Amino acid sequence: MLWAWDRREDLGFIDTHRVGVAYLASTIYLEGDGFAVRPRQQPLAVPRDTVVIAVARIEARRRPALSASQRAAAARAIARLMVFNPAAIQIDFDATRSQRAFYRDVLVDVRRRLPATMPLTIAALASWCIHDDWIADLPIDEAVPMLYRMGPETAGIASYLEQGGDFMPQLSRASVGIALDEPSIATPAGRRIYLFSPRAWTRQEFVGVSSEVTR
Amino acid sequence: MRRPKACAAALVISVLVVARAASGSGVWSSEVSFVAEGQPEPPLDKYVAGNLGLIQPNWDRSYLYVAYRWMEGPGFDPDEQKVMLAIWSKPAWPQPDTTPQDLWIQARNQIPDTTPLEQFDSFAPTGEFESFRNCHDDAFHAATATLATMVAKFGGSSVQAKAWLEAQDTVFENCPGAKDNPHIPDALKDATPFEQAQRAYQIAAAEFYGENFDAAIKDFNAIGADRNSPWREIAPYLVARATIRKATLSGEENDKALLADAQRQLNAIVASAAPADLKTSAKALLGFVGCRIDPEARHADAVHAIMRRGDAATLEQDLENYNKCGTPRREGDFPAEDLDDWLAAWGADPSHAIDKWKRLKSLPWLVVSIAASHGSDPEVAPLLDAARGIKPDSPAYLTVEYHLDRILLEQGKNDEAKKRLDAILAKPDPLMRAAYNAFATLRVKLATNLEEFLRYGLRYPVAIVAEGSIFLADPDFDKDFTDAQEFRRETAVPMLDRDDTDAIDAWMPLGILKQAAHSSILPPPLRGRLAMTVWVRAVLLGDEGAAREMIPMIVEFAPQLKVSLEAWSAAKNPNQRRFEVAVTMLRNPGLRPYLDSGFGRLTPLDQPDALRDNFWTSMSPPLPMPTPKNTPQVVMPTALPTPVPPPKYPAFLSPDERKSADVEWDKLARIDGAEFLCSEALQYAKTNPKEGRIAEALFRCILAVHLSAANDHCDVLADSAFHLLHQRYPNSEWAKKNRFWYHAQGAPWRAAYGR
Repeated sequence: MLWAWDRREDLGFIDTHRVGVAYLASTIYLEGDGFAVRPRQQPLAVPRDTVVIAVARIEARRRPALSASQRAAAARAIARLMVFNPAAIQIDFDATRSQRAFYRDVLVDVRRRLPATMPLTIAALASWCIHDDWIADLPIDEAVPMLYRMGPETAGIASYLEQGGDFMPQLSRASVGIALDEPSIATPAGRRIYLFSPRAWTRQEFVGVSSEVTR
Repeated sequence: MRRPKACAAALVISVLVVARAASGSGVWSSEVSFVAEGQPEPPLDKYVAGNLGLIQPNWDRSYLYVAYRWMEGPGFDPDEQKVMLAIWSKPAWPQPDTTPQDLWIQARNQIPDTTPLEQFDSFAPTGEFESFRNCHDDAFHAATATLATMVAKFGGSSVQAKAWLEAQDTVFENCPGAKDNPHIPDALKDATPFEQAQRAYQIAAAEFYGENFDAAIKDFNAIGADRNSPWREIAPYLVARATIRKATLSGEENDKALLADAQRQLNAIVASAAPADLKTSAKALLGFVGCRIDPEARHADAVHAIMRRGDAATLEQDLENYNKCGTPRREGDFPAEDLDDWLAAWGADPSHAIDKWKRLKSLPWLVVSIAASHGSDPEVAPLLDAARGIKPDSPAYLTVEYHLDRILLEQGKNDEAKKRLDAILAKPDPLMRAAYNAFATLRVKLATNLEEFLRYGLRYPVAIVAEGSIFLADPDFDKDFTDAQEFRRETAVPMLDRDDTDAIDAWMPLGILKQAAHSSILPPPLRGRLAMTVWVRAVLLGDEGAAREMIPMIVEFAPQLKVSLEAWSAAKNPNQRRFEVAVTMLRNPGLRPYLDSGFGRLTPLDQPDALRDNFWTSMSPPLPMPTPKNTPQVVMPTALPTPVPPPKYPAFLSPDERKSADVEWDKLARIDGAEFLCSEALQYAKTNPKEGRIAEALFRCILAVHLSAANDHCDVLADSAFHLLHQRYPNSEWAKKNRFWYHAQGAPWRAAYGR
């Protein structure tokens, strides 16, 4: 899966039998008591039969109140992504410890608003999937461990995975997320790979990465 | 403020580089940062005035643009500097923006006998994946004002007001997108001309939001021709808006012929006797239309505008145009405009930057080229020659000098590097914290004695990262923030960075550490922490003399340890002394043989850390960074090179001192805190069952295994301690406080101390 962030992306070159696209469809901002949502406004081009996942990113800024109204507004904005007929909806929220209860409530609310057949996934901090597991009982179908931007835990997590360690929650064992601008680390075999690029994708970059990933 | 905390038990070292909370994700670090990430170090008025400091590739584009403009020549006049500071002072994320809609909902919900309405979506989908703001704030403002007019004219409970409201709700039902099935109010019959005019406007608006643009254009044209309509004046403007929407939303490509129509309509409004605010709106839309009729030309116009000096009045709008208007023209694989190309060059393949520098020999391209180069690169020599020619008054001086010195170090040209670094660090006034830290990081590698090592090892915090928020060490930092004062106090004292504590922990012998603990170069709290590290290390290595020497300093820093340390000191035999060590350390989970960087462990010494940052783990066998096998790999090295190789012995250590460091490391690295302390407690319990503190030691041993990153061997120890505690001391307060023992949770990883 290619993560396509909110910038002009032309992914017409992908082989849709092997590659899908998880595109940033909406960004939700929580600040104080306030709430703002920015749906995707940059064009995204993909081949017609591409499997697409709509991603909603939540950004909690200065002292978000994490109120019931913010929870409802966030859930409503995420559930709205159904209008794009995605194959699944993914939420990306780097929730701090104090924001986890709110995040859980949002997921419960979103799950309630979605049809039972619509898969709901999250992009998960790697630590959530190893030593800080609070996600195992969330109402989601999958958590994608993100093996990048891990700060001081990078070396430790790399060592752990290199030695054969695996992610703890079962729901985090189907996929893994890596970024093009960071050295890769060993990942358990047989996982679906989500690729994040800090820049707009190009055919050249995709071909290079694709051969590495499938090696 | 929230005090940053270490992340997990195994992380007994801290972080050098901040993980930004940018796009993408990662683990939250809660640490002190010694580099300027995301933006230049405050205060920004110095930066915008041309004191660029050490330019970092991960800064936001607007900061890099300022750097480019200073390096390219024009710089910024005082008025322009004010504009840039104002732009940067605005929040970088959208502000809560539902207020106009909230006001509308609040007003309409007050009408008697109406069904209350909740917030609704203002964005409608366009294309397969994108959305656009269908209902803007002005729509809600206009509706709120018209409702007030209707209530004033007919009364809130009147048939007229309710009919208008019902129609208006229908209009807004189109806001989330209703292209395939627009919601259109019914035409009004048997009503006053005023009501008829209002309804005609509502129908036109519904056609507009329902994306039935041809009907909307026709209806707005009719309204414009209706002398009785209160909407007559604005109607031509709405015709233009509907034309623009039709041009931009109806197909995959913008319809430039329709856009040209809209351009003519808007020009006509600007040239007419329309009210000034309508003309202003029309002008803004003309900009929008122009960006789409000839995007490359408009982008080029925007580039030239933001590079032109003396246009403070239009700078903000020019920057807005640059960021949002048009499309950069490309020449081959690269943007045609030099500014676009330069901004894209940071973090990209350096060969293009070097080619460009060779052709242009311009300062911006020298900077981006040298920042991406290594000492071993075959083409680095001309870059170094050019770098040596940069004068101190150049805005790029510090950046070029830093990379020049870094590359000289990589090439082993230590004498030249040292001379240059000493010249810079001898006059630190122009250096702000981030730049000072960067140069000191290079200089410490050339330390010829302990004093230099400590002096250049100290760094000044630039930011604190706590739970994903970056708190900059800004003298004007968030004056309303009640804990700002505490923040300033905490960041005022220099600290040791990770590269230095790595060297201290893994590559220095006890004798040198002892000297360091006495050094007045270190701030007192750091000296106290180092004295505790030396004491722990000395007792683990069996150097009682060194341990005793530390006691006065430790007591000065942590007087609560006085009794324990005196008991250790007064112990009558080695066994008792070992037990005193065990009790002292079990009571103080923050004691460890390693020195943490930055703030160090923030939980009080005698309190267990909630995230298992307690005691220490063994470092043997070493855990090197992995070489992935048979697993997906992606290596795209786009980040700038790290400044120096991993830490080794500090250069000033003698061969004997290096040998001592090796011998000590071999011993220390094998010792796991919880395992060692529990073993000592159990051993002493066997031969001294009546010692009054055995029950406490057993209790704390169980806790130590539970609350640290203890290894699997500790299961047996915790089990033994548990049974001994409950069988031998069942009535003790410690047995009563304890009901379980816990398996060691281990460290899913552990920090490697550089070896």
